[in-house]
Amino acid sequence: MAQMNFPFLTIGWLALATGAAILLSRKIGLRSARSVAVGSTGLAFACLFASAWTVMGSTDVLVRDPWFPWFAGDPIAAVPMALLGALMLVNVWISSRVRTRPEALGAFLLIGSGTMMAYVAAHPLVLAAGWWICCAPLLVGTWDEVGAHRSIKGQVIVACTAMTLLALLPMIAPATEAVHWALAALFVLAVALRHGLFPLHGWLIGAFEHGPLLRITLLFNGQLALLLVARSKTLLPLAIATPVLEVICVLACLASLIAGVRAFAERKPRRVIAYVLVSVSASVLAGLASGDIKAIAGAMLLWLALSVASTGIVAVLRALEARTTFAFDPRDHLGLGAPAPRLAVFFLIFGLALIGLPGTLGFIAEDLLFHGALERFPLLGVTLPLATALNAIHLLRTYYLLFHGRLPHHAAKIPDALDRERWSLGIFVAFLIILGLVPNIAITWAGPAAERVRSSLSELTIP
Amino acid sequence: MMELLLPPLTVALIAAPGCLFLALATGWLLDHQPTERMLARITLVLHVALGLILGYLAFALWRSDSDHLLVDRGRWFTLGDFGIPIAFLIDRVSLTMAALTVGLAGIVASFSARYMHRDPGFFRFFLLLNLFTFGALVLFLSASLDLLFGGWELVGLSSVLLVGFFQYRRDPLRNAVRVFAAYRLADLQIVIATVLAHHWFGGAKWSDMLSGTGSEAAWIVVLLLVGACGKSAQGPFFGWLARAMEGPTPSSAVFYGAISVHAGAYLLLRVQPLIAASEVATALVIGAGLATALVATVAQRTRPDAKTSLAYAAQTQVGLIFVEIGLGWTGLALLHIVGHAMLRTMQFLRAPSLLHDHHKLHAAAGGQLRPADPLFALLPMGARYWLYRFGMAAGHYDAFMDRFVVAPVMRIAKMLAVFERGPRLAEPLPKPRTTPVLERAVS
Repeated sequence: MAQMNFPFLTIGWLALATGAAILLSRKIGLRSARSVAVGSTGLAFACLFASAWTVMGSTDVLVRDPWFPWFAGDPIAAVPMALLGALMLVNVWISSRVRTRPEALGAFLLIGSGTMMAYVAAHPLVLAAGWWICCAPLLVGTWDEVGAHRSIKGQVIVACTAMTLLALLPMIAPATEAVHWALAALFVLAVALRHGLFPLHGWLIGAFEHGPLLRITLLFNGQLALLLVARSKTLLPLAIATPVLEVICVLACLASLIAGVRAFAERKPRRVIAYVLVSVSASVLAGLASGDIKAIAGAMLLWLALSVASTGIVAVLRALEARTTFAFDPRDHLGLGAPAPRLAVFFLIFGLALIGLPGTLGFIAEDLLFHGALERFPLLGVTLPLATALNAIHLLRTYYLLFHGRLPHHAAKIPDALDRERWSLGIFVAFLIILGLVPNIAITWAGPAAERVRSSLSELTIP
Repeated sequence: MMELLLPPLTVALIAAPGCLFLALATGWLLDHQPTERMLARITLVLHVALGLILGYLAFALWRSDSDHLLVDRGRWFTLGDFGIPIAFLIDRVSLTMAALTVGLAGIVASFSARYMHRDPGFFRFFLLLNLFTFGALVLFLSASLDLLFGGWELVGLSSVLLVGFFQYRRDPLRNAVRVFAAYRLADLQIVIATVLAHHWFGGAKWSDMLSGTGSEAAWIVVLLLVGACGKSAQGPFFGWLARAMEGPTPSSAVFYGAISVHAGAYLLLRVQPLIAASEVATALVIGAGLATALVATVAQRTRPDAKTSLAYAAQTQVGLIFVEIGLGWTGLALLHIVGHAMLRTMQFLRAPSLLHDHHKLHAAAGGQLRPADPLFALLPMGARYWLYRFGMAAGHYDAFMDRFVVAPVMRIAKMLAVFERGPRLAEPLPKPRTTPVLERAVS
């Protein structure tokens, strides 16, 4: 097994964890807090990018960290993790310089460090620890003033416990048939809860509606359930791995469609967007679990597009909510496109990238995903394009609700995208469009990674 | 020499409006927006250049021994043996449609430079017009269903954004979402047809698809027919075209009078041999076209406003074009498309001065101008009343869709909320709300 020539993973993780610890200690001013957060995420991104570069250039399946042997990079997780590092950096960069509280940034970094730990885990227990750490801000968070919090907390605890048992059970119990079925049940439960598959999606929607948007989006974009599915054949006995994945694929297809239908009864932008994101991520899960090479590659590309587009769309929504409280629950069309046309265009582009606008990465991703899914499950696969069609309607509806209509007096002078927002979101748009026009760049990663997911080469091995 | 120039010129023809769109959009994001005059001139120069390239392509086709030219630029991307080919087909059908697009979009751009003068959305309009031209050229010149779908989506998107162009009123926004919903549900069939074509025929190039036979080909062509109905407002997607009249008149002219509304007919022209090989597909094409033409011609006669009346008239003609394609009269259908697109564009562009034109005509006729519906005047009064009510309700299409499609979906969506409300949740259930699009239907 190959080894990195520098401890990128350990240093990257330490940067995030140390940053989180400093910020959560609350002994730091607002401006210093932002500098610490930018420094931590910047260092983490540099390390993750370097580790991704090393892993992609290596012929080995796993490239171990020289300092901490339970950390290793593999081609499946390397690119999404580096992208997540970039998204974290941008999110911290565009956060308000004077209003963002240190503990909010600390919680953000803690979620990032937990997610990173799960991505680079070379042992199931490290993976489980990553799940707990990234959910920690949600479990002991400061946003428990809303009534929904207890229910959300309960579901998150169940998901993390299922993951922990999944990691522990093979070590403490003999490999009997009963244990196999218990593992299968735990696996499905952990994936369905963490991913928000119907009917276990309530916590994610509630978290998006009531929680801090950027932190919840980071938690969502961690997509730890996808990682679990990508590594399923090492966590599950081979005898039951295939049927379990088929069950997850069926659940994900249905969940994608149901979330698309459910959003028709919603009007709040946060909830509508949450349903759309849940629906798209369920499509990604379905593709990944389908076992078809085209569907897996499409799902992996959609994973990237979803991460960038969802971060962008949430950043726009957050910017609007910071400018006018009416954006949280508009009773009528708000007309914010007049004073903030650039935010409107960013919202539209990110939304359309999510539903596969030609010329964006989403188009290629969904083309591959639909081809694979429809070939693998001709009838069930139809749910994915149908869900995408419904999601498109919701996004346009929300776009018109927020940005078109007669502008209320109180919102007449809200600023358009600030420079830092414009540049950051512009980079996201450029990412989606460049990879959409020249998709071979992304397919160079997604093709081999998809092949490895299919042949389950990405193994978690105990050092 | 001619063979050498053909590929780069074809690519330039298609890419130029897309590049202009990207350049204008990027410039706007960076606070560089051209003046109205500059923007109109750039667009006009672009269309003149596109016209010259089209002339060259027509000349190359005329000089060649074959009835078509194929420009193959490899694959957009490749994964294993799967990929989307970047191939363009130049034949009499695609060239005619491309020429219509460039010509009419250029005329509309020239008209709009004055018509939209000082409109707050002037820049947005021209941006979307360029996106539309790009999408339409991809749609008409692509040699495969994969690439056609890309253009198809861009045409649909620009169309919907222009329907909601007047952003201060609610109705255009509601109608734009309705139009978008119709488009997306119809486009879904094209996605499935493309996948099936890859699966059964090994690719979605026209040459691959036309080699298909039997029930597989029939399935694909039926799916494509549904997609075509969506774009051309025929059969089950009859209702959206009148709603799309909320957009600016120049965009109505080029989209719903000329190019976009004929895209479905173009798709059917492309797969006409497959339609002819399947009795079911033939019957469906003729049935959809005939039914739409009959309902639309009645509805058109009851409309009080010029644009909606023109929209139904356009649907009538497109319905007849569908019938012609179903009967195998492809030459006539192509001629019909060209004639109809030109006439309808002119009518739409003249629509704002309709009263003025009518008064002039009335005066010229010495006050003897009569309604041009002698056939309906022959019907008994009861039948005329019934037809009037039927026409006013546009065949009861919207009522039917609201009752049997929209309302059930809304009910299901609300019922699904049950799964999100645990007993420990402190927050009360929100009052059921309908979306702005659907609230009228539910009420």
